Amino acid sequence: MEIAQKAKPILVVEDESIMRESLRDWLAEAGYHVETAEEGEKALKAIAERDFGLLILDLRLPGTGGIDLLRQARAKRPQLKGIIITAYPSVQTAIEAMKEGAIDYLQKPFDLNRLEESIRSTLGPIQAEIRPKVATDKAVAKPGIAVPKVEKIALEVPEEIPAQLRNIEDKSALIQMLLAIQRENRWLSNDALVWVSLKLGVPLTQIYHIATFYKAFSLKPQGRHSVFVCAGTACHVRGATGLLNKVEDKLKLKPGQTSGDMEFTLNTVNCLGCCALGPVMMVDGKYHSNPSADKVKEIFEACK
Amino acid sequence: MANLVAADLQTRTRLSGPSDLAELRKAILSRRDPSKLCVTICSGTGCHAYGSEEVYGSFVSEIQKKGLQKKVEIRRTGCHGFCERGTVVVVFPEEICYLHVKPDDIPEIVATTLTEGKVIERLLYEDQDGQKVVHEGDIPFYKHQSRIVFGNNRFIDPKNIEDYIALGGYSALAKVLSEMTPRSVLDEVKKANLRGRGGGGFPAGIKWETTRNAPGDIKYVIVNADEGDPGAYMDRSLLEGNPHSVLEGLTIGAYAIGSHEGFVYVRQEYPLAVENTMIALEQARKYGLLGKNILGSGFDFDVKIHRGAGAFVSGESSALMTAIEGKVGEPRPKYIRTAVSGIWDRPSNLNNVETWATVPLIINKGADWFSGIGTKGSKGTKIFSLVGKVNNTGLVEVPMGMPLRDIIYKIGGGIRDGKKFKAVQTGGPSGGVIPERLLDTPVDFDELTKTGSMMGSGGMIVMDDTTCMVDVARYFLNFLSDESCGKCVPCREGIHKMLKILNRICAGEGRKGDIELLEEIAVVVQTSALCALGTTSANPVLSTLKYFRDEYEAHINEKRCPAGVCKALIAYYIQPDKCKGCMICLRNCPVGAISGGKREVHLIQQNKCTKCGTCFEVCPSRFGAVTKTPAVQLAKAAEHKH
Repeated sequence: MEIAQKAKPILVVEDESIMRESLRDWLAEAGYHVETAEEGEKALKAIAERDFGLLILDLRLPGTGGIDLLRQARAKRPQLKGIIITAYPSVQTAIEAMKEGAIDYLQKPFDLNRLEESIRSTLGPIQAEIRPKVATDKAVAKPGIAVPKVEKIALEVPEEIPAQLRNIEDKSALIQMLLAIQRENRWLSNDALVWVSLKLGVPLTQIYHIATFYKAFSLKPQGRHSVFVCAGTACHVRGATGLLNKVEDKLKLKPGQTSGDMEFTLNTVNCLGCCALGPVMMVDGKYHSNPSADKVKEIFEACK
Repeated sequence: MANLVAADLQTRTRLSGPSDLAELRKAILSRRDPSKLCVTICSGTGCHAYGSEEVYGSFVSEIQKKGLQKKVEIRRTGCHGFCERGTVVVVFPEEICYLHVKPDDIPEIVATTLTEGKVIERLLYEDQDGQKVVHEGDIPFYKHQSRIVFGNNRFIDPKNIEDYIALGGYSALAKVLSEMTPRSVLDEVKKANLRGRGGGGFPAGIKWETTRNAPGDIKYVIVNADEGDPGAYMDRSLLEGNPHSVLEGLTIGAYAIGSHEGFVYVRQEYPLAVENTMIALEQARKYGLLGKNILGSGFDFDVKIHRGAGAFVSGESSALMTAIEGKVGEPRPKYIRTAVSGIWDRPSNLNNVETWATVPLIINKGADWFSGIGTKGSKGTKIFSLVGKVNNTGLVEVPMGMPLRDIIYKIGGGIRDGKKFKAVQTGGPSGGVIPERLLDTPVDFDELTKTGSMMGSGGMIVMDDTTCMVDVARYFLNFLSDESCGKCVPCREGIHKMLKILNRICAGEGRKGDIELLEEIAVVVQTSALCALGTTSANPVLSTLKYFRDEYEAHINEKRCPAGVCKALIAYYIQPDKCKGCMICLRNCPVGAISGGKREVHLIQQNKCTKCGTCFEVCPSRFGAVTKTPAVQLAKAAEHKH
C-alpha cells in the first residue's frame, strides 16, 4: 500500500519475546508500521538499511544495551528519536538516556496511552489511510475478532454518525461523541466505533473499553421503545422488585433483553432521580409512578 | 426611566459593570407587578412525572379561553420539593398552594381562584387533624425547613435568567469582582467553614486554597453533578431548578482560585439538567456574566458541559476528571491530590452542586451569618432527599444539627400506613443504617459518622418494619458489585464475596460462621481498596450487622425473614376462616397456583407458588385472608398434618 510506505516505521528492540510481540501487535493495531529486532546488532543493520521514525529500545539487551544502541543509531541517523523502556529504572540511566537524545524513559509495566502520547508527539497523528490496511491484515491473521468492512469506512462516513460530529477531532470529545451516536441510533455499531477510532486517532481497544464500561452504551441494537425500571434505594424499599416482576411478566423480557420484534428493550437503572414517586418506571423518557399491573399493560399497549 | 434602561439593555444586553446589573434588576422589577396574579407550576422531575406539562398546557388554554392573559402570569418553576403531592401549583401573590393538581382541575382553579379569588378546599393540604392549610409556607412539610439554598427554586423559571436576577442573582459575583480580591473571597469561604456537600465533608475553602497555591497557570474548576447515590436527587433539582445559582458560585470560586475554565459534569440520566444548564450558560454569556471580561472586571471565565455516561464510580473526583479527558472514568491512587494534579495533570478543584450554590449566599450575607447556622463542626443547611416509607416524601432543607427524628416526623409526617419505624439509611451505598434508638442524632458530618453511617450527599431513605435489613445490605452490595470498576482486587473480589454470602443468607442457605466471615472480609476491603467506593463498600454490611444482627441470625439459624421480604423464607397462606371464596386471588394468580371455587375456601399450592405476592395485594382488605408466614412454619404444619 503506497500510503503506508510514506509513514516511517517504528523499530522495537527488545529481547523478551512476549514484550516484543505484544508491543508489535499493539502498535500495529494502533495504526503504526512496526518492525522488531531482538538484539542490537540486528537492529543496527536494519537502521543502516532504511530510515525509521522512532526506536523503542529496551535498556538491558544482550550485548549492546539500549542507550549505547541509541547513541550508535543516532551517529548514523542524527534525526532518529528513541524511547527507552526498562524494568530496572534508575535516575542515573534516565539522565544518560536523555543525554543520548531519548525523548522518553518509561518504566515497565507502562501505560500504553502514555507510550502512544510519546509516539504521537514524535511522529504526529497517525495517517488514517494506513489504518484500514492494518486492520484488514489483522482480521485475516486473527479470526474471531470481528473487523468490519474497513475499506468502505475509510472512504465514507457511516450513516449513523450524526452530522454535528463529522468534523470533531478533539480526543477528549470521545465520550460525548459516543453518547450522541448512541442517542441517535440507540446503539453503537462496529462501523461507527471504527469510524470514531479513525477520526480521533484513538485505538479501537480503548473505544471498546469505554463502550463496555459505561452503562449508557449498548453494543447491540435496542428496541424502539426503551423501558427502564428504577432500582434505586427509595424504589427498592417501596417495592421496585414487584414492579420489575410485573414488567417482566408483561413484556416477557428480562433486564438487558430486547424483544424479538425489536419493539421493547427492558433495563434496570440505578436511580432515575425522582425518588419521591417510587417505585418508578420510565418508558421512552416518560415517568410512571407505581403503576398497577393493568396500568403497565396499558402503557405498553399505547406504545404500539 | 427604568423602561429606558431596559430598552437600552435590550440592545446592549452585555452588562459592563455592577451598576449595570443593579439597573437591570430595577428594570426587571419595575416591569413586574408584585400584586399581579401569578400561577407557578412546579416542573421538577417529580411533578413532571405526575404530568405537570399537561397541567401547564391546560392553564394556558383555559386562561386564553377566559381572556385573562393580561391579568395572570403563568410560570413553570423548578422543583418545590414536595414531590409526593405533585403536581404542585402555587397561586401568588396570596401563595395559595394546591397539591395533586390534575389537568381536570384547571377550569375550576381559573374560575374560582383566579377569577373570584376564592380558595378551592379540596386541593389544599390537609393535616393529620383534618385542618386545611392554604399557604405553602404553613404546610408542616415546609414550616420546619430553612430553605436558604433551595427556596428560590419555587419562584424561578430556570430557563429565564431575569427571574434569577430579579431575586438578586449575580449580585454576589458583582460584589466579588468589584470589591474583593481573590484572597479575601477565599478567606470568607474558609471563615464560613463551608464543608463539601457531596459526601466527604471536606472544607471547601481549604480545597480551593490548595488549587490556588498549586503551581501552574492553567487551573480548572468543576461542578460535580454526577449524582450517583440511588435514592438521592437534590443536586438534580437544584441544577434543574436554579442553574444560575450554581454557575454564579462556580464563577466566584474560579475567581478565588485563579481559574478561567470550568466544567459541569452531569449525570447521563438527567437530560433536563443538561438542557437547563445549557440555556443558563447561553444567557449568562449573553449578559456578560460569563466569558471574556465578566462585568467589565477583566476576569475571563467560561464553562463547558460534560455528560456522564452512566457509571457510579465516575462520580469519584479522580475518575470524573479522567472521564472529562475523554477516557474511561476509573479512579486512580491519589498520592497527588486532584487539587494539585487533576484534569490533564493541571490543578483542578471539584465541588458538588449544592456546595457551589451555597457560595453566593456566603458572599452576600457574610461568613458570620453562615456560620451562625448549624453546629460546631457543620455549618449552614443541608438538603436531603427524604424518601422511602415516610408520609411526606420530597426534598427538604434543614439547618445542620436538626435531629433525624424531627426530619422524619415533623417534616416527613411519620411512617406510612401506620407502620413502625425501623431504620433510616443515609449516605448512599457508602453509608449505613441508623436505628430507632439513635433517632435523636443531629444531622452533622461528624455525628452521623459516629453512628457508622455518614452524611453523604443527602439521601435519607426511611425504612419500616417490612424492610429486611439483610436484604438492604444485599441490595447495596449488589449495586456496588455492578459499579465497582474492577481495577483493584480488594474491591472487585471483596464485594463479590460478601454479596455471595448475603445472597446465600437471603436464600435461606446461610451457614454458621457467615456473619464472622462477612466481618472479616469487610475489614480487608475497608483498609485496602483504592478509592472511596471500595473503602466504604462494607458500610452497608457492617452497619446493618451492628444494629440488626438478630435479623441476620434469624435468617441463618431459624431460616426466617422477620420482615417477610426474602422470598425463599416466606410463604403465602390463605386463612381458611377468613377466606370468603371470592375468586379474586384465584383469578389474578399469574401461575394458577390457587385452587378452590366460588364460595369455596381457596388454597395455595405451595409447590406451584412463585411468591410474587399478587394474592396478598389483591385480597380485599375487609377480608385480609392472605397472609405471609415463615416458610418453615408452614412446612412444619404440613408435616404435622401428615
